[in-house]
Amino acid sequence: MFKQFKVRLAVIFGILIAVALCGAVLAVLLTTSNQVERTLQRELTVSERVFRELMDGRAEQLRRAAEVLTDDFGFKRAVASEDRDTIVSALINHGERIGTDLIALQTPSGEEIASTHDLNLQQLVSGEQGGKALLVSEGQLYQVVTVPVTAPNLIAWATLGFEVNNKLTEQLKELANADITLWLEQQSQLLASSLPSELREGFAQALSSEQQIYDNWVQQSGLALQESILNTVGGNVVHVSLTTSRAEAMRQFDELLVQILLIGAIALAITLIVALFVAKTISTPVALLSEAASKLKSGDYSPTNLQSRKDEFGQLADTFESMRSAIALRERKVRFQATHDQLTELPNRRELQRLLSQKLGDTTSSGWFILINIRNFRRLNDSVGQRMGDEVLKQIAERLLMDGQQSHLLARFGGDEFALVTATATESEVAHQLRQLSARLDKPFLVGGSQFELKFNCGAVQFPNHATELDSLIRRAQVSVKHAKENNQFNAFYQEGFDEAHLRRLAIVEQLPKAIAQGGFNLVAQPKVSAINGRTVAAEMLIRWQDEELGWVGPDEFIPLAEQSGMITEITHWVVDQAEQWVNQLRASQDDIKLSINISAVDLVNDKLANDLVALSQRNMQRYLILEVTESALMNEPEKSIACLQMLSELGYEISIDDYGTGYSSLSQIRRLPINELKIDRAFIQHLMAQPEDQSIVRSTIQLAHELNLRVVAEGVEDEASWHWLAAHQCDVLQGYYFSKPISFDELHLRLLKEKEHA
Amino acid sequence: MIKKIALSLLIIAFSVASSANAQTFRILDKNGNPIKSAVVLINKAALVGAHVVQDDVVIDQVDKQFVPKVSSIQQGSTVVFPNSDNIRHHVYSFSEAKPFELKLYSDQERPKVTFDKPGVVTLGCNIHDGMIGYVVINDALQGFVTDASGHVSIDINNAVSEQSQAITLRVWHPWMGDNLDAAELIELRLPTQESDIMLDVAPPAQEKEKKSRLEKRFNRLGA
Repeated sequence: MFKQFKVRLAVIFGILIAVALCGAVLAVLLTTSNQVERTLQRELTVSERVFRELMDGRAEQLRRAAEVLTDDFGFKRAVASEDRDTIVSALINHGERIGTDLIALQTPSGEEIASTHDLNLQQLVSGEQGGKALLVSEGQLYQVVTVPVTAPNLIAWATLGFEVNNKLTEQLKELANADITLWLEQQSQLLASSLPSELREGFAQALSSEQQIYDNWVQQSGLALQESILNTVGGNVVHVSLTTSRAEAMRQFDELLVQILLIGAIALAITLIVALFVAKTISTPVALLSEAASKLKSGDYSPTNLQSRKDEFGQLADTFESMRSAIALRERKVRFQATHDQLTELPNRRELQRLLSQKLGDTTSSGWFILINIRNFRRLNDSVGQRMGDEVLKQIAERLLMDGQQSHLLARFGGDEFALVTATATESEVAHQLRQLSARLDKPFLVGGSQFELKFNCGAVQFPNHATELDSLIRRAQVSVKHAKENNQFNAFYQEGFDEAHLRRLAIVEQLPKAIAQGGFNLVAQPKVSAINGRTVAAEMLIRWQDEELGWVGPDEFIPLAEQSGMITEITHWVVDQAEQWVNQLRASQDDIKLSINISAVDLVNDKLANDLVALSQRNMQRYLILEVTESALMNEPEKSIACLQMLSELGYEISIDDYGTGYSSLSQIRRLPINELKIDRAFIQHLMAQPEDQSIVRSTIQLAHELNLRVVAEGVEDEASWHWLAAHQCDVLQGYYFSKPISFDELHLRLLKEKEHA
Repeated sequence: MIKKIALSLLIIAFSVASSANAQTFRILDKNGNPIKSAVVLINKAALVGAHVVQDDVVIDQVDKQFVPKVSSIQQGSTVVFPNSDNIRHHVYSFSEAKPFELKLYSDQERPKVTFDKPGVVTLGCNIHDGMIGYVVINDALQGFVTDASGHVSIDINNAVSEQSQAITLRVWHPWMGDNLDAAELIELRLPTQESDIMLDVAPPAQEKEKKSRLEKRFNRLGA
């Protein structure tokens, strides 16, 4: 309800003032009502005293007037005449002179001579108070004075009476400052009253009722009452009720109350205004702060325009401002860290991808995306430690930046990969740039006193020509890098098909496990024949893969991938297993030939093949198997590979060097290996008859091999002339399409059968 | 019966007077109401027949009032003050023309007073303040008192003489005060004609009520 601070403050202030005001009013009311009551009683007491004084004064006045009257000579003479009628006429005449309401004359002995009222005259004469008295006659109160008539001796008593009526009480009221009501106790009769006629009637009515009703009436009429008794001659008890209006007395206090309420209302209004003002002075800076905070919340870290104040709000604003700038700084730092590589302080991969996405989204922009891969960086890292590696990376970044044009964007794309985005238009320009880059990167890197030479492979893709999607752009760059790497080039521009070959490789890698698990391969064998008689002496087992989705997949395609992924060991295991079955079946039909198995470099450093072959040797299988290893297979971890070959050789397996002549190994190196056979690569044999150079290489190789007690096999024999030449030069075994293409087990079996028949 | 006789006598007197060229004037107050007990004074010379000194002028006291209230007499006349009330009266006057006192007397007595100086004598009763009477004593002038209807009949000698072509009337009423000098002078061209004479006077505020409360009280008690 009071969500707003200023409203709440105003309400609280208002309530405080209202409570204080109520308290004050209550106190005033309480005090005043007490005070009024006391004042009223005091006033009424005074009024009564005044009333009595006035009555006494009036009686004295009347007495003097009566004396003056009775001193009148004519009056005396009339009284002395003892003629009643004359006396009455004189009484009337003289009574009228002073306006008396009652007159009586009595003899000195107290007998009535004449009287307007039926009176007990004796009492009047004997009355004290100098002849002054009150009496009630015929329900009317009179103030009477009795004076002597002397001539010169006492000849009569004259009594003069004056009505105490409403008119008199009204006059007295003016002086006594209270309403005077006189009433007769015996008859509960109202004698005279100064009350307004309405109240007078009410009073008369209340008088004639019970005491309770009378009291209630007094209360209800809002009158303060004080009663006393007047003595009269004749024993009537006359009550004097002095009343005054409470409302009248309260009026001044009402005014006070009104004033207090007015002051209160003004105070309340001022308080509200002040409260609102105070609240505003508080809420305004708070609102500004809140606004600034929400701006901060929404991620806007721009400086705030909070007023500089000297109060707490100013301090708060200052604190807020410093907090804001700290957050802004941290935010910048975090953002930088999130988007940049900490080591080189170049944009990171994510940031680059974001920027590239923007560029790709903008149809007007075009350029080149170049990936720069550090070749064998991991090896460097492993050998010299990460710290040195990091140092090298920094230097590389510096060199890459040296040619930094504004339009270029360099980023660290991966651990050993940088990415360059240029706006360069043509391929030749990019090629020029890349040449410069190559020149810079060719120089050795000097770190910690050591020099490092590093090789790089770059892949350049033009966008949007080569790719419009970020993913394909990056993939095609990576494919290009790979292409460069495979071709041992510094850089490769993306060409149509790169990506498709890459995708096929990915598919192959994906399908390989399935093929291994479900036996998707099958084996064929290419016979190895004796150069002397052309009879089959052995066969090389070759793996074939016809995939449902990929179609024909050549070993050249999937073997390197299987080697990379390590799945080659599974494949070799399967081949070895198959070879044992073949051997067993061939032996069953007395076909005593050896089977060659191709062993991968991976197999040589893996225990699985060794274990398999150890197991086979226990079944005496070593006599039937030749293990073919390429020269290059031994280059990777040569020690371990050679140890492995040594072990297998000792088990009795024959070892053959495959594809001899393509590598860089010399026979002197091979000499150290435990090998039995040398297979000259088909590249030297295929065009043997047309290439005299090949003939001399082959001839010398055969010669040397024989000197090392090695059997020599020529691969790729495709014509009879070559056979004869090779036979003439003592080549031991031949293999090639001229004799047989790779054939199935059944065909091999049939071929061996035929050879036996011809023998 | 007495009233009837008085009325017939008046009519006879009027007829005699008219034969003797008597003229009737009506005296009005300024409100146009006839004034009773006004005294019209006129030079004897202007009259057909002049009054003479009298010894039998009566000013009675009836019901605590002088009757008549205003009398006009010739200088040297004697007035009898009978008391027709059953109460005593104490008639007195402090007027310069004739101070006198008739101490309380009853209807048994008929005191006489001779007024030998001209002027206005105001009569009072010592014990009855309401009793007021006037006696206008004239010398060269003759006074006529208006009746209840304000009429007064005067025998004016209308013969036009060379000395005077008009006569002057002086009209006095108790409302004007106790001095004849306060009388209003009215000039009438000769021969005069019967007419209304309006005075510049008005009755005083209020006449006292006839019977006072005290009197009523005494009466109630059977006094």
